[in-house]
Amino acid sequence: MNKTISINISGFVFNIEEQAYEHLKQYLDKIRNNFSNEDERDEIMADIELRIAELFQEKIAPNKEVIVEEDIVQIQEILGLPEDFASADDDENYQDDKTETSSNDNNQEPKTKRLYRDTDNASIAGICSGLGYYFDVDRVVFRIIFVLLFILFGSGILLYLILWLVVPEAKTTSEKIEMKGGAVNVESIKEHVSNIKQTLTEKGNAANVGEKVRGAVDKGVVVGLSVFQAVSKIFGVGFTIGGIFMFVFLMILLFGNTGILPFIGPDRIDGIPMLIEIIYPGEEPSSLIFFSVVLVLTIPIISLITLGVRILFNYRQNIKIVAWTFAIVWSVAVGILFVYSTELASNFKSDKEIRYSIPLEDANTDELIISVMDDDQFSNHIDPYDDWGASELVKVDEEFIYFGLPKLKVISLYDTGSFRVSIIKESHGATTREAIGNIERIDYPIISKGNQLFISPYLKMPKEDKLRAQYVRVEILVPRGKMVKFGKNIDRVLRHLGDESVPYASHYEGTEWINLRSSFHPKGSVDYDQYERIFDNGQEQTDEQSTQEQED
Amino acid sequence: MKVENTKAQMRKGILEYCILTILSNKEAYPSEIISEMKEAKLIVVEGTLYPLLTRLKNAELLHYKWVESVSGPPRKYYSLTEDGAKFLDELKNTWTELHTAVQQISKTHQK
Repeated sequence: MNKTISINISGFVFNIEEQAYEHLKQYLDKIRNNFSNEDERDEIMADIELRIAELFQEKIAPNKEVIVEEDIVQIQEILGLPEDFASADDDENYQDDKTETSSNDNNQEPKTKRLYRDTDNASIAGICSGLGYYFDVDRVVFRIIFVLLFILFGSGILLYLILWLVVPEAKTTSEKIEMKGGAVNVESIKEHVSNIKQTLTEKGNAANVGEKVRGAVDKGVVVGLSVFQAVSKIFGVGFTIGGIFMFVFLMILLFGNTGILPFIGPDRIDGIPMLIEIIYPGEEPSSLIFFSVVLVLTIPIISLITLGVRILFNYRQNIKIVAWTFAIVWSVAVGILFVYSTELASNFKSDKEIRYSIPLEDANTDELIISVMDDDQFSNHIDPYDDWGASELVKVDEEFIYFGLPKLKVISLYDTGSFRVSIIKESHGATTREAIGNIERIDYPIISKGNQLFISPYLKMPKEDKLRAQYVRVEILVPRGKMVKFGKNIDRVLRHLGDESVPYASHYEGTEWINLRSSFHPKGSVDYDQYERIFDNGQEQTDEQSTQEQED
Repeated sequence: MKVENTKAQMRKGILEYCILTILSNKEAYPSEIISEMKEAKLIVVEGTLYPLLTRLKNAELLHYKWVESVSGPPRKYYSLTEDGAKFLDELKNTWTELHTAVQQISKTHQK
């Protein structure tokens, strides 16, 4: 059963089904749109209607009183498509291709695309989303561009604010359609509305409640919310940028060559894996530890960046699984590091210091000349205070760890007598026995030749011993009235002269010193015998006391 | 340049000529004209004809009179005016010239 309408065409009445009527009306409207000249149009339409009436008449039979959809279709076949009417229109249409094409375009619905702010999908004001529609690009692209502009030049914010002011918000349905670049007509609006309805249905009752709430919420709350949003955006930007900087910094620390972290870089210890290898007990787990270190440091940074991006772009995707994975991996990595660092700490538990006396060929000389041997591992031109000191002075090869930072202490004695030299070696270890073993395996040559003493610029220990805070200190005891002369490269190792510690970047190479009753003086500045005489007369008593003290 | 446009332009001039020719020796109403043209495969749908007829009438090359129909609405019977007859004569000459020209050129350039 179908509803029928009665219509009047050219003075004739026909019964027509509602659907067929709609169809016919659309058809006639489209034909009408083809003609621009008003008088002509009316006449042509009258002719066409006349013809339609004639054709309807043919369709009607005693047992068929109603025009149905199919009749309309047949009539269209006879009369032709609306475009066929157009092709016989104004002469101008035939002048060239251009007008033909443009007139064709005019026959279709006019399409416009305008830049609006898309507040439905907005992070802040909907600029990027609007731009996305305008240029047919995903809005995320524009968001990234704006964030980059902000980071790089700071200009992104200004540009955004200007666009915010200038570009209108797409409020009405037709504006929203225009924003997306569709033609604004009844059909597209219908489609748009039905899309909205669909989404509303999908969202279910929540959307309806939301509508009501939105109606009830007063302006103050809205303002408050947008302020909150803006503040959270700022945090988002902060998190993201901060996180990125931290990440870059960390990468430089771990793999870079800028020397922010000691032990890394060319000619130094080959990155953290090597560092772990020469510190960590045993053979195998260095890569595991390295991996754990990287994870423990990077996971919080990546989380921070993710959080920032989520706040910034209003991402609402569920990332629970990722979050849990991060948390678990991070905990495991921390656990691994904890276990290993505990084990590592146990390897440093005991420490030991052993003093070795070095026999001198000519201990009774008046002047001892102290020089540093050629440095075949590092360089003859290293001032330990250059760069960051120790880190550049650790080196590893297949068999040995070299540590180029022995310390030399030249001590003035109150007593007269002969020169004495001792080496103090120290090390840590899991047990005192291990510490002693480590000490015994420290190779630190020292050569006495006549009145000359050559000391090594570095110590050497087997790689298997690992770094266990092995240190070497050389002490040269200079009796009263005796002299020392500092030879080649002495500044590399000299740390103490008398009671004074040697200041940075000082040059003792080539200098000569005399010990006048437990303090050093430049040779030649004071006459020793004269000094002794003055001293003996005035301070005999005190001198004896201090001698006793020293012997204690 | 689309071939459809060229075709449409060629056909358009010829359509007017053919309508005038059909009406040169008899009165006819649109459906008659159309059926003749359909037979000649010049047009396929009626829609094309109505605007043409109206425009030719407005240019005073055609005029029409209403004739009652036995079954259905009255019909517009079109016929040539004097101007229309002259117009048709000119078109005929032009067409003959064009036809000859096209024939000759096509022959010369065949193969």
